[in-house]
Amino acid sequence: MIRNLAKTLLLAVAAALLVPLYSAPTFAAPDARALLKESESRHRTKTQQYSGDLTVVNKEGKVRKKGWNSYRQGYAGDSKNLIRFTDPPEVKGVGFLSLPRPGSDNPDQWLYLPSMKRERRIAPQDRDASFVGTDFNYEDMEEFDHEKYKVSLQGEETLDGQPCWVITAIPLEKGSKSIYQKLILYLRKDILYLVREDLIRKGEKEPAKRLILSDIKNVEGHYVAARMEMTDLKKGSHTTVTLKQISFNRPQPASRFTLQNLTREGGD
Amino acid sequence: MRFLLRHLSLSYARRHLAKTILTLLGVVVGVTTFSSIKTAQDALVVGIGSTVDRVAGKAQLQVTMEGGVPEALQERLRNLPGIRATSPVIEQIVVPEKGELGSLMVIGVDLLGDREMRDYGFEGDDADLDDPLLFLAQPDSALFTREFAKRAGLATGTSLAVKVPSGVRKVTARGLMSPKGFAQAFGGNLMVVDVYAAQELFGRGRRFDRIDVRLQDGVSVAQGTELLQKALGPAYRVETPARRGEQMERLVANFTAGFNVSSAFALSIGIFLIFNAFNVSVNRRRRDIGTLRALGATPRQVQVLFLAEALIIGLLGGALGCLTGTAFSQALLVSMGQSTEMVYGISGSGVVHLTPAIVLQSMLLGLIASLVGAWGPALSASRISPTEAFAKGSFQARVQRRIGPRIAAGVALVAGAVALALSSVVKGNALVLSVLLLGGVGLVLLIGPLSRAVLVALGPLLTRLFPSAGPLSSDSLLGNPRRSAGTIMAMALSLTFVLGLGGYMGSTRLTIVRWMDDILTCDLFVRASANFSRPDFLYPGAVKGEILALPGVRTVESYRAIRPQFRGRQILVGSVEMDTLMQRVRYDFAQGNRDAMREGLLNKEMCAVTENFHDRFGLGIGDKVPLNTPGGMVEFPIAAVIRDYSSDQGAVFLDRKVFLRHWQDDRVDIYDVSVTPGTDPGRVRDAIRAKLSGRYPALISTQREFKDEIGKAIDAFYAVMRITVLLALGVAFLGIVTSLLISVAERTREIGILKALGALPGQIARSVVLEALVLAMVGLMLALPAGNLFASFMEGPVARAFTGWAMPHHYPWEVLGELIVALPLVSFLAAGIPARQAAGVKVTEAIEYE
Repeated sequence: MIRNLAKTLLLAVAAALLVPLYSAPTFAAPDARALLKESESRHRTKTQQYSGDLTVVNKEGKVRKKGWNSYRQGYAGDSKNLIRFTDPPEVKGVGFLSLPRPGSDNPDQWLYLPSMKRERRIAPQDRDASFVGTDFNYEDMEEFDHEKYKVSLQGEETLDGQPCWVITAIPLEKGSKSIYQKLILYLRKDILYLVREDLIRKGEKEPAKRLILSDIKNVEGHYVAARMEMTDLKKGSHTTVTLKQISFNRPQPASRFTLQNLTREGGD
Repeated sequence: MRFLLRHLSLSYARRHLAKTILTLLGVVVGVTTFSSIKTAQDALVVGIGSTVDRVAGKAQLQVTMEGGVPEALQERLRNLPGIRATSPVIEQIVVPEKGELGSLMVIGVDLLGDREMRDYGFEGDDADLDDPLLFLAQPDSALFTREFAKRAGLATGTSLAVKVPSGVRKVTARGLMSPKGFAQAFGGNLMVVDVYAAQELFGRGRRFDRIDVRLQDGVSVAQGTELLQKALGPAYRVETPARRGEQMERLVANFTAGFNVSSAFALSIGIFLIFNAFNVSVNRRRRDIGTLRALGATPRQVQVLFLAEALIIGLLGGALGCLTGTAFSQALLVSMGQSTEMVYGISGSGVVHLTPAIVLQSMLLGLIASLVGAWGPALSASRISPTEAFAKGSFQARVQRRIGPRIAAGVALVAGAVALALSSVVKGNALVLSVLLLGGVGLVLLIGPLSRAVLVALGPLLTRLFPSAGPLSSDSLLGNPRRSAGTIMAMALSLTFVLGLGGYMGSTRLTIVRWMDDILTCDLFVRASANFSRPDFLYPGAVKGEILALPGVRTVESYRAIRPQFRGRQILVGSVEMDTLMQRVRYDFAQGNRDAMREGLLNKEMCAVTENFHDRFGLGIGDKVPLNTPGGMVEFPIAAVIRDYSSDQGAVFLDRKVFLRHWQDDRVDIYDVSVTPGTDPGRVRDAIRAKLSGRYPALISTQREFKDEIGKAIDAFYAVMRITVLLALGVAFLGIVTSLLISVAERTREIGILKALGALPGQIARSVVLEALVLAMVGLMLALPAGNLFASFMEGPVARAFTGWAMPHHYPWEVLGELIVALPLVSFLAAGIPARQAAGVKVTEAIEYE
């Protein structure tokens, strides 16, 4: 009995110590920055790679499908990304590389076109341009790094039955420029995983685009949304990326995230 | 006045409908020529400006460099403060395999970020650019305007064959643009491709034609220009799209200036037709005028009546001429566009618009031409006394009594025109207009008395050669000196124009042919671009070695031309290996000599300039030519001034080594290949073709073919002028028809009497044909010296003023030969209807006539 009580007391003490850590907002107003930091620390992985199916559906319902392999090293502000299109044959080999740029918060981005055998740097002025005809633009292809934003908690909302923190993020624009005025982030409370992002352009009040992350799975101990859908709320088109063969923390060759590799025939 | 117009003028017009229509036609043809040329001219200039403007989109500044802007510059520009966006552009004109679709302007842009610069009008956004990734990934991708796609039967995913430097290539339509903003450039005949694909397609290497720049809000164009010029240095040109458009317009101004002369001639010939028609009209209605005067009409009222008729004819002719002019102008514009494209490498859009200004100008011209033409006859009509009016024949036979002062005034005016042309008091358009005005009026004053003298002198000859028809036609021509003089004036003016312009064109051609014989002495010319002014493709410098290594090749020279701005004009800077070149060509020196040029160009980094460059800019031996190079401003001392026809704006020549040292650009426009003695150039041509096949475009011409192609470019330059020459001949033809119809109508009674006395219809018809022939040949006779003077004026002061070239005078024997053959035929045709009419006159009706 005592033993049971002691066990109960021990659980109570442990709960008293742990609850503030996991559910402090229930009792006091949480700090948006702390939530995002916690989210980052929970979901940070050294590397990630997957095969993606890209589907673009325009407002008339016309569907375009493509396949790609994606590789990431690092996380958020220090991440390096390489995407290589695999399908259809007409676009096979097209590559996209994003590397952190020293002295700037905006990464350097390149697109490689095998038919021309040359890479093209994406200029900062082109960050608003559509990424290869999808509803993502080049800025959307950057990893979200909360440190580049002034964040504040807006409140709570339930999405698909899941309680979420609603956080607004305003670009600081210190060493970078953003095409957005504000992002509204929806962070699932239970796992602190981003499930929705409303993107408001400069000079506008309503979101221009919405990113929904769904089909959240736990792969190799990490939560990951196996489906990302970006909807252009004005144009009425949407782009879906379905992630397959996801793996984390696999060692990536150092040469993978280089311009030489990007421009190499068949270089993954 | 309304009463008189209705009862006298309208009834006359009804009774002599054919003559009234012919008078009207005189105005219509004159105004048609003016309005069609003016409409096409305006559309060409507006099209060039608008294409530059529309293609520029939101760009406020454009950065260019001779030989193309290196790719790396884009990154430099992006990092400069005050720059909002930059976008590389390549522009090129191509022709679809289906030539009827017209030339296509290819714009190579970076579609990744170009929407910041240009509005593509993708209705429904991506719906019309089917797959942007596919567009970028496939180098054959292109966007077309909906309007062009419809005409070409193109849909997204289908292909169009276009002729590019490397041959015929199929491009696939990946998207369609709505006809607004940018997509309206070049009249909608637009094809947008990826700028990097365009580099490959048109051999630009790693260069762009220009970089468009959009400035940040708050940065003015002046600030932006200063910033860029400071950052980039003198080798780069930073200018607004509007200024670029203006420079192109200025370049084609030389070309279009010639048409002003053509329209002025057409109108003045039209005035003579009207003068003639009204003169005869006064003559025919002298009885009516006499009756009016007897009933109390004042001379002023009679004059106003005729001027009112002229006003109506002028307004009607102006309106009709304006409409027909617009119909012709589209074809004229196409021809002008082809010429400017071939000669200057500049193309505009191909749509003409009848602007209110042209309508107003045409109507005014029709009106003024009619009033000027009718003024003299109206004045004569007002001076007819009632007694004189009823005395048949006295008016017809009346000739101008005060011939002496008229001839003196004519001679003085022509002499004044010659003196003005030889002096340098007036320049440019003012020179052309004042000389033409003085000379034209002088000629008008002289032609009347001179034509009468010639006709009197010809009388006995005609009688001897044609015993029955000769005296009849001679009597007819001398019987109404005003009508004959009017027709001969129109004829002589037309032929002066034809001979003068023909002489000028012939002289230009001959001069350039002689120059080509001196300069283009190698056996083969290997080039990648069909266009001489706008290189579609440039060879890498290393190709020279490959050609030189082929069996049978003796020497290869690499010719490269760039076209920089120099003191506001686009000059040509040409470079070639001077050591081998000077061994085979013969230069004609205006200053300096062969040895000095050779020594200066090869060993002292000097340059040679052309005579027109020397004339335009006042720079000769002892002076230096400052040129912008990528390394900054370099001054090249002038070693010689040569007579050369490479550019109508002036040219500077350098040795290739000097060019390479300063411009750091080894690309080549043309390889001049000389073969070893005894080698068949055809075999070497085949070998070069095989060597370059699949890698580079290769248009390989023999010396003869190359010269012929340049000849074609010269012909293209004068193609439109040739049309105006034909128009002038058309007006002259009309003049003869009018004159003869009037002559036959006037002599109906006389012809009837002759027939009653036994004259055969054939004899009467022959006399009319002879009359036409005499009119034309006397016109030609008088036009010979005038045409020669006009040709000398065009070849000398006009050519020098507009191109800086002085053409040696060459008498237009070929044109004269053609006219001697063509004029009798034209006269015969013109006399057809009047002769038939005269032959068909019935004796009984003729006696009752009048």
